Amino acid sequence: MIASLAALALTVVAATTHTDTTVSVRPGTRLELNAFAGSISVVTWSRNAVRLGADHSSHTRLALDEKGPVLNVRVEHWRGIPTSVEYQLTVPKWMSLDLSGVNTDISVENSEGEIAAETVQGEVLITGGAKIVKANSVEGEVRVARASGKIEANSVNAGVRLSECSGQILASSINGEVRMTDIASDDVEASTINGVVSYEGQIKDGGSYRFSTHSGDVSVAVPERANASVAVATYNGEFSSSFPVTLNQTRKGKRFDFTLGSGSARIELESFEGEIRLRHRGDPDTRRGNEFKYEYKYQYPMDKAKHEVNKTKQKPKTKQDDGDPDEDQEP
Amino acid sequence: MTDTRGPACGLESGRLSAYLDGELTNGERRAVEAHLAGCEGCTALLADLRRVVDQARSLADAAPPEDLWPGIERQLKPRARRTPAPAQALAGPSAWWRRRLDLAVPQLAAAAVVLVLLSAGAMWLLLHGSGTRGPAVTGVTPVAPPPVAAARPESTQAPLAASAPPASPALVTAGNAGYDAAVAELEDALASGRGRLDPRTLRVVEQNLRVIDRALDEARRAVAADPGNTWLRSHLAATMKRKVDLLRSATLLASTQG
Amino acid sequence: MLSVDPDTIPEGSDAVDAMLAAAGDTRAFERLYRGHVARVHGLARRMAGDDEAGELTQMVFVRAWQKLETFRGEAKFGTWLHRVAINVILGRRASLKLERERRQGGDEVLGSVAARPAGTEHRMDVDGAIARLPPGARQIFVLHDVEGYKHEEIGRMLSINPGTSKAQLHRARMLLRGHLGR
Repeated sequence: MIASLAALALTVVAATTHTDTTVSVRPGTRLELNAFAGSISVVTWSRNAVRLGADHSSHTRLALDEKGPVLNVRVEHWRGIPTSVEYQLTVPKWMSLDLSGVNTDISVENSEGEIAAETVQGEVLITGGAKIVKANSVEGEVRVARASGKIEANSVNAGVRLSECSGQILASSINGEVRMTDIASDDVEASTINGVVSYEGQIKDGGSYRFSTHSGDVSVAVPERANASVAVATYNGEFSSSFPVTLNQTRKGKRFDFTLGSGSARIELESFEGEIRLRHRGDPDTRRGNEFKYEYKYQYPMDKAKHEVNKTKQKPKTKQDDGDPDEDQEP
Repeated sequence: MTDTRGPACGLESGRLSAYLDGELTNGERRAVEAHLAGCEGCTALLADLRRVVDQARSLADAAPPEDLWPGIERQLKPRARRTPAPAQALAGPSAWWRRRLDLAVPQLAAAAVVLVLLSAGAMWLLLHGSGTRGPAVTGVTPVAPPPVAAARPESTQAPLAASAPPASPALVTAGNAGYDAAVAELEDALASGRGRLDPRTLRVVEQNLRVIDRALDEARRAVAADPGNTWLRSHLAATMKRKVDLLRSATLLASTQG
Repeated sequence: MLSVDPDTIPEGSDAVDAMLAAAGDTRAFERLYRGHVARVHGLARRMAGDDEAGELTQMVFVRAWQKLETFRGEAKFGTWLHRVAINVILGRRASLKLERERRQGGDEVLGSVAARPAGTEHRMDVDGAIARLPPGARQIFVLHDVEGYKHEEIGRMLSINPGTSKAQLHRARMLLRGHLGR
């Protein structure tokens, strides 16, 4: 717990109270809430009104301030010491949300507006969201489902999961994994340092898809008839594919290209140390690919001599312990 | 109506502005001060002028009423390549991957990687890597920093790619030094704001900085062992960028909390 | 998005973002925008008026993006950006200058609009008073007293003599002095 919450234990006798206020709002109004500790939970309705429910210390006061196009949830803490507040908001479907907190979990359900949700120690769970969706946490997990538009989902220490999303997607973590399922987008970028990146979704003609990690696996499932130019790069890892692949690579280094179909979209699969696996959508993901497994290191005569020499210098590969290799078999 | 003409005492009022701005010679200044001692009108006028200047200096800036960024973003064309990429040298679709714009490494041409690094100080290093340009790699000297005083933002840039020699593995670390200087400065800023970050968050940030540092270490060693591998360099640069991003976020967090 | 006080952004951060942006990273450029837009917009507003300020601000950042490679990191990014802003604003102003002078007609405008009986405590907003200055005097006043440039630099920017700059500055100050409360 944070220091100030310990202070809370000293200053407040367990008196909590519940606030329940509803105000009507004009279409186009945006909601802003900056919390400190506790949780923010937002659901939607079809009324043009905002209902603010909250459980909090009886010394804390909440108010709804309207400043032009913004409806701000203002909180006054006793003696300025922030305390934990559990917010339950019901807002119009169209309402854009700007939610932030420090030790706060944030969840939004069934929104059709723009969403920015940022926390430090909590997690962010969003279903819905349109045009712009930003979900960020430092320590906690970030999950976004059924969002469309420009989507950014980032966590530093934990994982990011996106499902049934469309639009321009940017997902990243450092210590966690990035898993995407049922994606219908033409612009996806997902990266992490220490985790797995997995993708399962459409590959649209002309689209751009980039998946990269340093020490994790990259596992990508695409439609059988995808048209894509694929570039695969790894230093210590291996590549396997359930697509029959014709290699037209002419360059040095552990990077090579091949084409699926007409080559229209661009896919980049990169891992420094992990496995890179490309499979058909609907096929289960297994750590060792099936039919067409390429030990690409030895494909290129010009590299062979060099690789023979380097082989002795290579560090032992770190096996990534996935724990759930079957998770991606849902189409 | 306010009198915009000078005082009636004979002193040309422009002198008072010059006096206020410290633009008079010693002799002129003494003359003005002597005059002021005996002239109420000019003394009052000087006070007025001083007030005007003080108010001007303390004007605050506010962000524009609406967010102009979307309009700006629409007009940002992708970076023009300075080094012409002989992408024609490579057949087929394999050239497209170079057009990725979001790396700290500007476009990889088949023959050269140009990495321009800026640090907060006056120094900048030019790193010119060779991909397939000739096997011989000679020692490289970083370009000397330009004198600070002479720099004007509109001055034509030195032709970067033209004369720089090919890279050696040693340059990989020299290039990192410039970047590392910028990173170090961010780390200092984080350290000074560190007290304001929650201890648990700080631990998480530091743990993740270590995660990235380990990855950077591995990437650097790989580049040193395989300097001709252009993808490795871009992977290294992308990883460096992640570190900078994390430091920036943490620094911002520290500065907005507490 | 947390709003950011530009003074808390460490300088190295700007330099790094400038480098990233020079390599094509628009997200890095957006961070630079957020940190510096207030100052650029303030300058545009005072030099050119409220109506054009937004459009000028956009032009400034687009131009800055195009010229990023000329930023070498010797100066602070904000300083460099400011010069880009002035170039853009003055470049734009020059073409509209004639039209405006025809419309404004010099000192009489300020005089008649601002006429008040002596001794009234009426205090005109500083920005409002600046906006009413004739364009030449206004530009020089903003550049010198608000933005802190020296007469030599202003002379170079506007292609005038430093002496002319000093005279215009004094004229602006005299016009303003009566209208900025006591």
